[in-house]
Amino acid sequence: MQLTIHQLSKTYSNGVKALDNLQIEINSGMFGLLGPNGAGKSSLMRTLATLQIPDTGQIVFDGIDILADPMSLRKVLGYLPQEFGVYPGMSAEYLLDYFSLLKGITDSKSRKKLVNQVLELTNLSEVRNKNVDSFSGGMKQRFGIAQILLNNPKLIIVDEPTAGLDPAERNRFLNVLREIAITNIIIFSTHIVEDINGICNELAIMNGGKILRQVKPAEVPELLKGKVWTREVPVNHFELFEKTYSVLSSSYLQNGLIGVRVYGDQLDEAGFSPAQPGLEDFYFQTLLNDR
Amino acid sequence: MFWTIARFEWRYWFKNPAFYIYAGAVFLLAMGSMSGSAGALGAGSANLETIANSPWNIFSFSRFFNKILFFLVPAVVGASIFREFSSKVNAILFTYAFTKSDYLCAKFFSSFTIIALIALMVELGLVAGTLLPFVNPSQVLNFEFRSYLHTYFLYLLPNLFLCSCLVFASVSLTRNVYSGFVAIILTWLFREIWFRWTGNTYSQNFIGLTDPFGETFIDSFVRYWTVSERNLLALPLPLDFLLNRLIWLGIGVIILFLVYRCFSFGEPVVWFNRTSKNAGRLIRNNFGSITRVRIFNPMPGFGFEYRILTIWRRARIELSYIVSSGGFLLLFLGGGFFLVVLLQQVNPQTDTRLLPVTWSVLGLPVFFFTLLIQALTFFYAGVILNRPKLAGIADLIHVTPVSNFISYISALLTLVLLQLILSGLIMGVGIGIQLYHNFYPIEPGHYFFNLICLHLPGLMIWAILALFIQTLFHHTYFGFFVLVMIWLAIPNLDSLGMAALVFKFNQDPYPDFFLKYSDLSHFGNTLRSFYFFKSYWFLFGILLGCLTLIWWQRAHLNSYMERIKTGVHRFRGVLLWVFCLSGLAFLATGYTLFNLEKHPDNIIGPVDSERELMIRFEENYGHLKLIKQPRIRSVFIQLDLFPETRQFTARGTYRLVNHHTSAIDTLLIKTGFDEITVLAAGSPWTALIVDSFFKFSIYKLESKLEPGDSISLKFELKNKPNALLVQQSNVLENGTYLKSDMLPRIGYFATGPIMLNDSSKIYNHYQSYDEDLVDFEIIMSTSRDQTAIAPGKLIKVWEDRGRQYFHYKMNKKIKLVLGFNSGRYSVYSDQHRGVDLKIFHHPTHTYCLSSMINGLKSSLDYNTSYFGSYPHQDIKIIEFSRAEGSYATTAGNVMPISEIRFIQDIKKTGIGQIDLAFYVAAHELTHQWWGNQVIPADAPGAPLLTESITEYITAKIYEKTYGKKNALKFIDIQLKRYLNGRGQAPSEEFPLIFVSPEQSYISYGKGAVVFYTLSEYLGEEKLNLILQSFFNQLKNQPPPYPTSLDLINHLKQNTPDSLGYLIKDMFETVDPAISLRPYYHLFPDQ
Repeated sequence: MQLTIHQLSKTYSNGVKALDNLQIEINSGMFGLLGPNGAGKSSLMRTLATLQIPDTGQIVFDGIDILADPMSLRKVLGYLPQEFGVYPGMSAEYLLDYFSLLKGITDSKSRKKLVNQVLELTNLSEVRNKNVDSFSGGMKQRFGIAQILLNNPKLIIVDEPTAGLDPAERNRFLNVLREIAITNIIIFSTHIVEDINGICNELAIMNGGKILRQVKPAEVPELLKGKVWTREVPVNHFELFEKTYSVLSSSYLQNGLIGVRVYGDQLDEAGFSPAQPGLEDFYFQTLLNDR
Repeated sequence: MFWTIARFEWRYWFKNPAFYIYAGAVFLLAMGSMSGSAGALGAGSANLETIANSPWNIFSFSRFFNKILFFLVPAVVGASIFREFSSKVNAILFTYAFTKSDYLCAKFFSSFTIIALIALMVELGLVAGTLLPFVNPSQVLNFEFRSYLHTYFLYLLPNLFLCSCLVFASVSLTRNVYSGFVAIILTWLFREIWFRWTGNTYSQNFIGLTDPFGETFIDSFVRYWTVSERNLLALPLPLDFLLNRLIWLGIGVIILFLVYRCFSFGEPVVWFNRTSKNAGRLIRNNFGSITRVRIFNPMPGFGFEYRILTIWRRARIELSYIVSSGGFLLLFLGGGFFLVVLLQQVNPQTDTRLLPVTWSVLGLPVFFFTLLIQALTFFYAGVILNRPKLAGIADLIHVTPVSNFISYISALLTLVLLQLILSGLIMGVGIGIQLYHNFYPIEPGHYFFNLICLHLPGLMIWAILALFIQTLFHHTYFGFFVLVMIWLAIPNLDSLGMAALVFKFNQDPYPDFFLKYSDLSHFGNTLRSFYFFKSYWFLFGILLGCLTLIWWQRAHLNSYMERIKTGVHRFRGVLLWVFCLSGLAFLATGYTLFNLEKHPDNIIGPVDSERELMIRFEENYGHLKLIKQPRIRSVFIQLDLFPETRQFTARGTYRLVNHHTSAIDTLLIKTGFDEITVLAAGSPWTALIVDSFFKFSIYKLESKLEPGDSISLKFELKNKPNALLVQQSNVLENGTYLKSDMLPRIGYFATGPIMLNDSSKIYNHYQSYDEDLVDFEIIMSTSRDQTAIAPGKLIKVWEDRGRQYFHYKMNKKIKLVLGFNSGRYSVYSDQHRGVDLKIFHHPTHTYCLSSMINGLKSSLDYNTSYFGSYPHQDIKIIEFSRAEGSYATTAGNVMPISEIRFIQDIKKTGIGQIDLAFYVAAHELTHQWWGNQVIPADAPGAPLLTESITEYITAKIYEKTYGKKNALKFIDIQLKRYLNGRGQAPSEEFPLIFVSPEQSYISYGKGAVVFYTLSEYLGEEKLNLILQSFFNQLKNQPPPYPTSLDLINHLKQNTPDSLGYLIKDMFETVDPAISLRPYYHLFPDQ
């Protein structure tokens, strides 16, 4: 199973180039799409979910040209947008039943069984009769997952799903995703690096409507080996420091100094000590590179 | 802070194209209305008598625009306050450092000024309309600033202020943008209900003060204004009106204050949608862990079952959303209450009420109510289309494999179900009212047919259009505005040269045909063309449906360019084929209908105005005016009616006599609009001119007709073939009433305007120019199950080849004013003073028979006691279909009366309401003396001798049966008829003595009041004796016929000198201040 995106471009009427000749191939498993806000992640996701029409380009999933034949894709698509609402006054069970009907389950008994299962799976069984519009953020997000699972999707697109979840919810959520990713493609966008770490088979870093890098998370330490350095600097030196080095990240320390991670070769002479490179370093380095 | 918020709001509106579109549309519409009324669209397009920019007219226009502006209030004021909630800025904004009063005042003030600006465009548009180059200068007065100023500041602005307060309150308290719309509709509904409810019970002043829009005071002031007063006088501004404005301004302010008290930046105060029972405490449990995901995996299917189920489910969800909202519930209850009030309403003109027969329930009330359904369709089309997006669920739904077609059909189904629910309300209320009145039988089938088969198709087509427009704009209020504009524009297509029916979206060939349902003839021939046109517009609906699918918003489309691109992309395959095929079918049907409409078979009579025709006729044939013509002395007719096919054929023979002193060699013959197949004189003649346009021919007799000699004239005629759009014959399936206008007549028929000095007219009686009185005999046939009735004594009845034949013969000469009736009748018989009384009525119409009989009996008693015996042996009242009209008349011994008089509610007779059934019978019978024995000349004032006296005598007969109080009520109604009539009459008013036949408001209305007043001064007996001596002098007088001058002279001679002024004031003076003074003197409280 493969998703191929070929030379995808989209310019909004306000002149913003959301997708810029984007090209990528995605294979089965969990695929992380990492990028800052406004990088074009949501545009790409919406385009993949047939909700937006690109100016040019081609998208083929499992033999389906989804721009020419969006209906075929929709039959095997699960999509969780970044933000969604529901009709007020409707229970989780009723809405899921409705969605499963929309997704083609016409037999009401099968629907009932299916809905029960996804409610169980997303741990919503107890609140099945409560109105979804009264759910907390995490419960609503779980409802979002529940509706994805209804049609046994082959392609799942989840747009920044972990925003607003508490740590326990986030964990559980990611676990469910990982579980269903084994045989399918899940495209998962986020701007939080930890989300990707450990659960994605592959990831891409996106900015300005382009894919900057596409790697497997496991390869990252090797790629940056010996290139990430760290040092503590006083606050008043930081500005000068930023101009001199490629600063990947910085954070205040308890002792009033700033801990800085920089990218570079042989910086031990300049008072830096080598650091264990991580995905975050890779992410920032990629963005810096693109500047 | 106030100004910061207000400025922000203004900037928003001034950058918003919707503001300019609202303002521009209102401006153009106002300009168009004004210039149209001032004759900008060419001669004949406007009423020349009215001044277009008279203060009254400016007010009337503003009144119309007031209604449109009301619907912009939720779109502007409501949207303005709602924006904070919808964009969810409220959470941030409301924490800023401004006070509640700053915020609310600024919001209200700024959005109200926007509405006020749009309203100003109305007045500017009206001014601009008078300045256009093509207006008729004689219909435009000099610009008068005051008129516009008053209308704007005392009428439009206070009303809009009140509405803005209501909308502001409902939206800010419920935080639902649609509640503003509901508030407007409810305000309007409850105002209507209030006025209809209180109509006769409270004082005018109280009702006026309770009118939130202040129209009542102005109306009651202007009600009896004549045309010239309406043209010239400034708008009255009585103190009460100003008080009303103050009261309602105050109420608006109080509402605003209450909003201020109740409003909180946090939670909404009132939930517009009922909170669900499902809400409850939520327990958080999210610490479990997942290791395996295994889901039951049923096979999805996307076939027929899928489509049906999804359409149905989506429609159910949307519908239950609509009907479970508090706003809809209020609308539903308000609408039901409105229907009840409409159905209970008393006809204010005659102070009478019809029985709740099903068609009357389904008539006007349903007409008004379907307008409400239509408005709700426009509105809810937007609501349901925009709902997924507003709820945020759109993306989740759009990625499912539901096709746009399914979504579209389910939206359409939702609207149709909504329409059905509201139609059901009509049926429920209607049947409820019938049960309440103990009125049986209940006719569910009739309800069903009317609501489902007649009204629903039109509403469905509106729903299709509404979905199209709302899809196009995706903005509920804006879409609603556009739809209302379209609806208002349709009747005005005429002025753009698109008068043909094929251009008028969703209009019926007979726009009010469902108001003319008859229990006798049902819908007549109108249904065929109705369904033809509805099918035509359904084809258009399919086109609209395709376009809607092309524009359907599923993906996130950012610009119109993108939408067009997507649309073009979608326009292929099945959609393309359906569009092309239905487009072809639509064009073909349209072309056919367009040509059909112009085809002579589908036109009745000439299309030019009667006035123009007369002028043209006089130009062509004026020289024949004085040619001496023979008179018709006897008439024999064989008339065959075919109710099943609604056709007739007639053969007839006249005997014409030369009553002049010189010979006649030329015959002028005017025929009706039916087809004449044979026309032959008893001696040879040659046609000089046969004018098929005017149906007028001139023949030269080969041998002259000497004085005293007679000649026969034979004719045969049949109706022109009935066509799709027009039934050429007046034969109905049941309850037919044909008149003598189908018969050929002799002589120069165009009489032109009444000339006071044309003395030759006293040789003609007022109803014809070619006969005095005639012998009459007829053989009439009709279908076997019907009875045919014509004037005369029934000589023979027989059946031949499945048809029923009737032979009637008059044993006295009668006027050549005939009626030929046929129908399936039951007969009600009685006898009085040796006269047989028969009523031929529709079997179920038995409600008023005894009233009618009583009317006949009382009339016989009263008239016989003063004016001698009844001239014939029997009286036959015949019910005819209301498709022919709602009047009554008398011809020989028959008295055709419209079915409408057979279903009067006479239960309250004697306690305030007039018994119209009694009244009509008594009135028509009185004509046997006044009108058929005393026959006035064809001169000004003729109706004084017939209608005025008859109406007076009827009042007296009424008094004998129902007492003086009710008779005075009757006279009061006549007074109002007169005063109302003056206000609407287009032509110059004459005094009673010269009243012309079309001025019935004078001859009936003023005439009854004046004679009744005279009887009060002279005494009833004394006046009747004066009338008696006049009657005895002139009854059955051959030409010259009496005129009103004879009566006035007679009255003057027999009135004491001290009261002589009465005759002069009341009969010879126009001004009601003088002519009605004696009446007001006697009855000062009227």
